[in-house]
Amino acid sequence: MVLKTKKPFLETKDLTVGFGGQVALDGVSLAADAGGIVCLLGRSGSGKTTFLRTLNRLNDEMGAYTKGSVNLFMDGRWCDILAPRTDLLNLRRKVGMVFQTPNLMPVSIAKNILVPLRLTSGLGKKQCRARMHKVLEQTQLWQEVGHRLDEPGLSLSGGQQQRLCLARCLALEPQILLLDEPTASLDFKAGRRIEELLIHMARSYPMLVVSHSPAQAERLAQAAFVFESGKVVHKLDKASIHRHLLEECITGSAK
Amino acid sequence: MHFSETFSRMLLYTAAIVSMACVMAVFAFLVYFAWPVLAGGEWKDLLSLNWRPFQAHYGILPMILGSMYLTVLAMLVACPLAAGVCLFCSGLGPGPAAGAVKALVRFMSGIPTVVYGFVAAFTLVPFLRSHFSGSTGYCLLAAGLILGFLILPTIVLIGLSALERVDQELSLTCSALGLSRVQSLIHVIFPAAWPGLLAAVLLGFARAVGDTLIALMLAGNAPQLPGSLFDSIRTLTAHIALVVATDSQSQAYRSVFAAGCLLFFIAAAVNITVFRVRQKFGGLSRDG
Amino acid sequence: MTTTVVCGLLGFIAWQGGAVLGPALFFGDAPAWAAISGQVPVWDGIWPACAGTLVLVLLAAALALPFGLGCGLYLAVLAKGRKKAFCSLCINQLASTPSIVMGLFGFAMILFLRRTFLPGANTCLLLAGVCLAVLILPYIVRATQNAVEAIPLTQRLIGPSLGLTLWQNIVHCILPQASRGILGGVILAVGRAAEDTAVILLTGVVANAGLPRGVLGPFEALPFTIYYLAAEYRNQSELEIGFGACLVLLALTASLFVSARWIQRKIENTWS
Ligand SMILES: Nc1ncnc2c1ncn2[C@@H]1O[C@H](COP(=O)(O)OP(=O)(O)O)[C@@H](O)[C@H]1O
Ligand SMILES: [Mg+2]
Repeated sequence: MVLKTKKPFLETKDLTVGFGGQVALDGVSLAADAGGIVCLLGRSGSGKTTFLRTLNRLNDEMGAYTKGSVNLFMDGRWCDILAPRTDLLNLRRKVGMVFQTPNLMPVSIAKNILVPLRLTSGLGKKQCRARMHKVLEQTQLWQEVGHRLDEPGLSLSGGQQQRLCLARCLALEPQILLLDEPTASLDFKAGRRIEELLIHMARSYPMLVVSHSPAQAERLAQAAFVFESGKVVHKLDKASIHRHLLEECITGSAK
Repeated sequence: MHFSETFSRMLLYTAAIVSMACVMAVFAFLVYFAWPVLAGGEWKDLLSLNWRPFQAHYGILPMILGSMYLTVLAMLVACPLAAGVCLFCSGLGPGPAAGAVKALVRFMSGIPTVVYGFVAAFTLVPFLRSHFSGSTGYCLLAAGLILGFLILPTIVLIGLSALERVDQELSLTCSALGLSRVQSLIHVIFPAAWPGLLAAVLLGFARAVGDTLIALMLAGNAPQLPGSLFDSIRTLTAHIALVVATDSQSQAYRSVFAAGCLLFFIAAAVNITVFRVRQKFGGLSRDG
Repeated sequence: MTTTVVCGLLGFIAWQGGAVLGPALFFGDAPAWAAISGQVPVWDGIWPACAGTLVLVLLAAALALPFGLGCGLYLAVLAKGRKKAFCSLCINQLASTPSIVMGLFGFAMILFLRRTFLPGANTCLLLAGVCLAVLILPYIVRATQNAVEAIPLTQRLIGPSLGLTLWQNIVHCILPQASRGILGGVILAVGRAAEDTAVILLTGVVANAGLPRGVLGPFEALPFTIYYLAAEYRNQSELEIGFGACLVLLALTASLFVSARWIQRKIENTWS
């Protein structure tokens, strides 16, 4: 699948999320287009991760309450994912998420991909392995780890682990990708490598990427939203990201 | 929703409910059997000093007092010792020795109660008998000493974990203020860790009240008020064991269930106090 | 000071108990193999008590494990807010209920059954197993809960984020990562069940029952043997058997304890 035209894939209205008494998102309304990376910017604690986790209802696992409405364009139609009868398992398979720090299971590289794939898809052994090959190619891991798939996943480098997490999630054939600061725990080079990969993959997936630096957003994004204490304070397009970056530098409020 | 999802949730709920039902069941059975005594006028007789089952006097007051004396004595033995061990392990002793003592205390918590009782019955008891005339050796003192050692690890381990938490936050500050290790422990860290230490002492107390074997094996089990440390006493726990084992009439059983209720309530009181203390002053996870 | 006392105690047992350690301690005059298989009754050895304790502990663990695991997982994964606090409080209460009260509970059950459905009900191995299971249940629950909660949050979210079902998540993601912690806790709980005397005292232990013959019969147990011999030994050789039994029980609980510690150490190393 190649996304040709810019089409909206995400729309939220008055989205409010709280943990106990603490409000993490406060009336967020935004719409995002597919066909290029959409970045979420903002300081730490401003609610970016929480926003991502609403899109696959992972906040539910952490005892959060959610109000407002969130619509995702999946399977050729709009789905209200906060509806009470939403099939969470299906939603989470279709909305793939990669965390800020790599979170592999303490098993072999191959199993990290094969186990969830087998459990969620019910495919045969051969098909699973073929799918694994494909996603490892996609994430440019095949050349690096293809010959040692039985080694523990945790023996890989940070960047490789992060790409393996991405591959694990791609194997389930998601329709939307969420990435939470995918380069935060990596060194400069490995980070750049992931960025290239993301730009490449944004052609085939609608994608939301949380980023801690406006500079990175400038390299990646078609559009960006700036969060501040639970609210969206700016919506930026390709051109205005650069201007925003400059302003932040001049007023000194960038971190 | 997927069927298996609902099903697995049900499984976990069931397990949780069964576990909670256990507490309720214990409580319900105790109250059910103790009710005739508690509701009828018999509780006055129950709270008398008279335990003469053959003349229908079922006072358990001597046992309540016996439990109290014994517990207080055990706490008097254990608390100073525990404080010493805690101080030693949290910085006064040399590193390797502190580690070794800590490992030893951990190990102590794994020694079976009955082994303590058995060994004491053949060492401490004859010793007391031969050195203090007029005593059989099976007495308040013997049980108190051993019980003190039994609850020592409980107090030390929970107390140490509280101290360590505070220590991590404050020890650098203390060093920066130029306090010596001893000074900072006594003036800063012990006071700052008091909720945890209180919890440790309370849980030790609960353990002492609830222990059966030491009292049963070493305290002599005479249902009387002790006049001195060398007199024999009977605790609530030992009372339960003795009455049930000797199979007397059902009237005696009721007093036993009243005693069981009392023990359950003491445990509940300690439990809720500890819960409150921890809720109020930052949660410490409970050991064990 | 503490050290001296404990070392003194251990040394004393090793000295007294070591002297009698040998086949005679376990089987008395009976030939070993015949005694183990139950063909020849053992009169003055502790084998029946060992076997009783073994069966009892296995029974208690088998009864407590499923519920303990389930409840621990419930607390760590599903429960939130007030329900969690209440469930925790219940488990704490169970943990701090004295074991004699647990025994009394078992005894009460028998009285109750006698009055209602089963006039012939009597204390037995099954009853003791149930009561011991209730006694060790909170230890297993706590161990499971702590082990699961010690897994870092992002690791715990792997399963849900990939759309695994709760069951798949538990079996494939959570249990493998928490298994060592749970195992350590279970071993400690087994040690607790092996040493407890007060519960079995009220629920059917008997001094000379021989090998346990069924779950509805009486049984012997090591800790009770020790207690019994301390109170009612008739001659020097019985006293020696008592010391031997002490040593055996101590070795059993100590080895369980050390292996549990060792496993927990391993986890601390992998997670921090
Ligand atoms: N599991 C949680 N429990 C309680 N509060 C949380 C939790 N996760 C996030 N928060 C709160 O929500 C707010 C937003 O956090 P987050 O979304 O992680 O910010 P960001 O990803 O932008 O750094 C913070 O104030 C944080 O304290
Ligand atoms: Mg974040």
